[in-house]
Amino acid sequence: MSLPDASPEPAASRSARDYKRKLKPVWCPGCGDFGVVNALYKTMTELQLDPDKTAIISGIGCSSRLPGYVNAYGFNAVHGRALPIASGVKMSNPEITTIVAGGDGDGLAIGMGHFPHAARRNLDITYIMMDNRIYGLTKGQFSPTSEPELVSKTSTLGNVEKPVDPVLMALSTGVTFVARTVATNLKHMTKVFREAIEHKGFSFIQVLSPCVTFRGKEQYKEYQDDGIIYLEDTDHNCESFHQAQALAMSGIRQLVGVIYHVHQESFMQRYWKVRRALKGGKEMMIREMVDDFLP
Amino acid sequence: MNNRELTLAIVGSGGDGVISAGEIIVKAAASEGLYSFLLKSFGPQIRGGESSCKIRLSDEELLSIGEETRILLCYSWSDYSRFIEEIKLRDDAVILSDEDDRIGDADLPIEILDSQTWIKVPLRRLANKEVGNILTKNIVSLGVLQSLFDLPEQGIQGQIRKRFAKKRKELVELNLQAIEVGRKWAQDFRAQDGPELPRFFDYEASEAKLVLSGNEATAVAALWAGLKFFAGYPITPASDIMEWLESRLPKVDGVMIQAEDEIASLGMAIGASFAGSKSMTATSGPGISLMIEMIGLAAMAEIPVVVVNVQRGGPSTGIPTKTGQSDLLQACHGLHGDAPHVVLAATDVKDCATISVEAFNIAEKYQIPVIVLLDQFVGQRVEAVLRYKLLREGIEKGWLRRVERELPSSADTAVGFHRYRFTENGVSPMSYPGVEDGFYIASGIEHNELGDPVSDVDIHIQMHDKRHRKLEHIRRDFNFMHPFGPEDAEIGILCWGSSKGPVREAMMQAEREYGIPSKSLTPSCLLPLDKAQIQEFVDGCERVIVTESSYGGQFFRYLRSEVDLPAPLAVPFAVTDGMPLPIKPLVAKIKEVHDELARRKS
Repeated sequence: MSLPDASPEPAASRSARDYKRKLKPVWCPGCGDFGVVNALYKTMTELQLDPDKTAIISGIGCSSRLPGYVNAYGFNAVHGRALPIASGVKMSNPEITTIVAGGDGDGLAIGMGHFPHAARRNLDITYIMMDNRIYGLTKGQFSPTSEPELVSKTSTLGNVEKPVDPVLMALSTGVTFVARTVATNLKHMTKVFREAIEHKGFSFIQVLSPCVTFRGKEQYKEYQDDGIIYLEDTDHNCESFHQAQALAMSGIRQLVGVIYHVHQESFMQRYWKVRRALKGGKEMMIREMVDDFLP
Repeated sequence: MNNRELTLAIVGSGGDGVISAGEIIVKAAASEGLYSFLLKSFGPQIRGGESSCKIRLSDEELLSIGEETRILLCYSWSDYSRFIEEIKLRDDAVILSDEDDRIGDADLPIEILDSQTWIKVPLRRLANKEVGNILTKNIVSLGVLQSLFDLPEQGIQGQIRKRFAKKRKELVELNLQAIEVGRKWAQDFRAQDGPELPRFFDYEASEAKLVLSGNEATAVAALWAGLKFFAGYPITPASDIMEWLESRLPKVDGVMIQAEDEIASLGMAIGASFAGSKSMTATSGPGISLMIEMIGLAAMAEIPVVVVNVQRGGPSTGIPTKTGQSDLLQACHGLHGDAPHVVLAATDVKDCATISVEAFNIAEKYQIPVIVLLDQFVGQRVEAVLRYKLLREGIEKGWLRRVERELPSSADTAVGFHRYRFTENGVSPMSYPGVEDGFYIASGIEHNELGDPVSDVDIHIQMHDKRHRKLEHIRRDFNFMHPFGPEDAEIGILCWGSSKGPVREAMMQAEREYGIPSKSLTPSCLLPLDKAQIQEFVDGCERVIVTESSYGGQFFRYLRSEVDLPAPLAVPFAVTDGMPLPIKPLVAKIKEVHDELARRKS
């Protein structure tokens, strides 16, 4: 038992099956999150991610159960706090591929306060948000992305709150890779996930993931292939912030693909850049540390 | 009249240089091998406003800041009026004030007794006219103090050189001149037929002592213990810890990050620990309240982490710059759902270092969150500490070790890694991302041995047992009891944290003044509490005074829930004035209890 050698091991190639954990998901039949986890297996296979060097962090919610279904290190933490925990993992060991999985309630209600800060630090973390615009695990209350007038268990006369647009928010807080994809298209999800994980910096993906139980067939239909517009088929330039902004402000969530992509130094790069002179790496002697306090 | 000990207070406005003057005296004394003690106190203003510091010097180890002040250096009476309760003067106090104070003699905020000596010094004028720079006023006054009371001369000059050399060479000369101007004034004053003044005794200089605060001791010890990751959010009086670590952690390839709030701070620390780094955060009451859910997560997911709470006066925002011991019950009982965790408390500056190391040791060995309770009094006071006593003694003698996290064996991982395997002491093998074949799901949800979520009641109970077994072993593994005083004394005192010093001082005073012996016991590990040892102590007393700085008598209530401490035996002594535990009232309490016992016997 030891830490893996730094030298690349002879690659016994892993298949999607190697990433799938035996645990049976708690999700309802037809839940979009099945598609998401399958796309993740596929992405991990394509990238040949080492489960020993991958950590999937989540909070609480239906989608936050995802780490339990993947062969990798996982942390199913408390509601809304996946981003700080993932940030700690990444800062502690930048070698670890760090993925956050969660839902709209977890990330945009209780956990929203962490989003802008994770974004502006630009830690190399991939955040997959499965957005079904409802609370599923607690059985059908409206969420921060629920549309106005939605009738739910806690808005029986219709939702009176305005929804938040996570893509618009990601852009305005400085996320360096922003994408939207849809749980009904495995291929598209895999492509976007792969680009996001390969991106060196904070990446955010909104996955339109239908909740068949509490949002019914209507939502499912909305995400069917014929209603979706793929940005790849348009002349959208994802390197242009203006275009990305305009696209996000259109409010059309059926527009899916990579919305914005820019390269910027990550937190860890900047952290060590300004502290290069301090970096010692050797264990400090107690005498040396303590004698700092001699008058 | 020579004194082996002197107490001194300096009061003024933010710009008067009160704190720098105090620091120079304390460091000067320590540089000549003396013990010294410095307690700062500020008004609520960000900048400016009133500020004060209390200093105590001796050639013997000091237990507290002392009570009433012998010497008061008052730059401005209006500022002193805010500290009348905090800085009480002895009946034989010597008061130095600025001759040109705006407040007239008739309007002083206190009445100066005939037994006290009042000396008016033209501080502002000396700085302006003789030195030519009003900013040197505090340094001029240091010269006056040094000469009038025989404070460490070499040490003060040395500190002036050290302090100002960092800035500009000319400043060294200017300030040394300011010292001379002050000394010259004092010599002229003494040449007149003035009052007799207390003089600091003719000590022999010895090896320089370290000068540091409890917060700094906590931080430096954490670094020695192997700290690699710290996340925090600024809060008084805990920020010093993150400020000290900011430039030191990178030297050991570690990271200090200022998080967006306290929840994120502990979240990041837990994430970093999950990923294999010894991790810590530090905060005060309001921050701890935000972190509570995360502490429970660390208990459930069995992630080692150290959470320091530098307590301040509460509730809510309370008095951020004052001390208190009112987070005890929250620390012990504030988590939901039977979450096993550990609560340690440090008693003085060098104990902060020991406790900090042991907090990491317990956290790492038992994969459990450890709350370290400090308070403003122990965290922000500055003490001179014998170099050998800070960590080195323990390390060299072998009672202070550094526990490293163990990796799981290949047998552990061969058959599918059971991260939460049931074991005799409740500690299961732990891996972290990067460790081969060690991947698992850490979870705040109840889980089986593999970490998979379960709602099976049998497993839930077994897991409770497993997690709580750790506490039994911690109770046996570590001894954190500080006994003091003769075993056969009838009066016992139970106290915790920073109260230890003032309590011992009060006990010694009661013995000296009234011949009343007493004994005390201070547990540094409050959870799990060594009930047997405390019970034994209680059973060996006729009366037990339970002392603390808490309005609600939290320690008293906690002890009564843990040990058999019947009402007639137990005497609560709870004070909550934002100041260190007061000595005089405690001496009076000891006397009162003693007299009551004597009456009963006769």
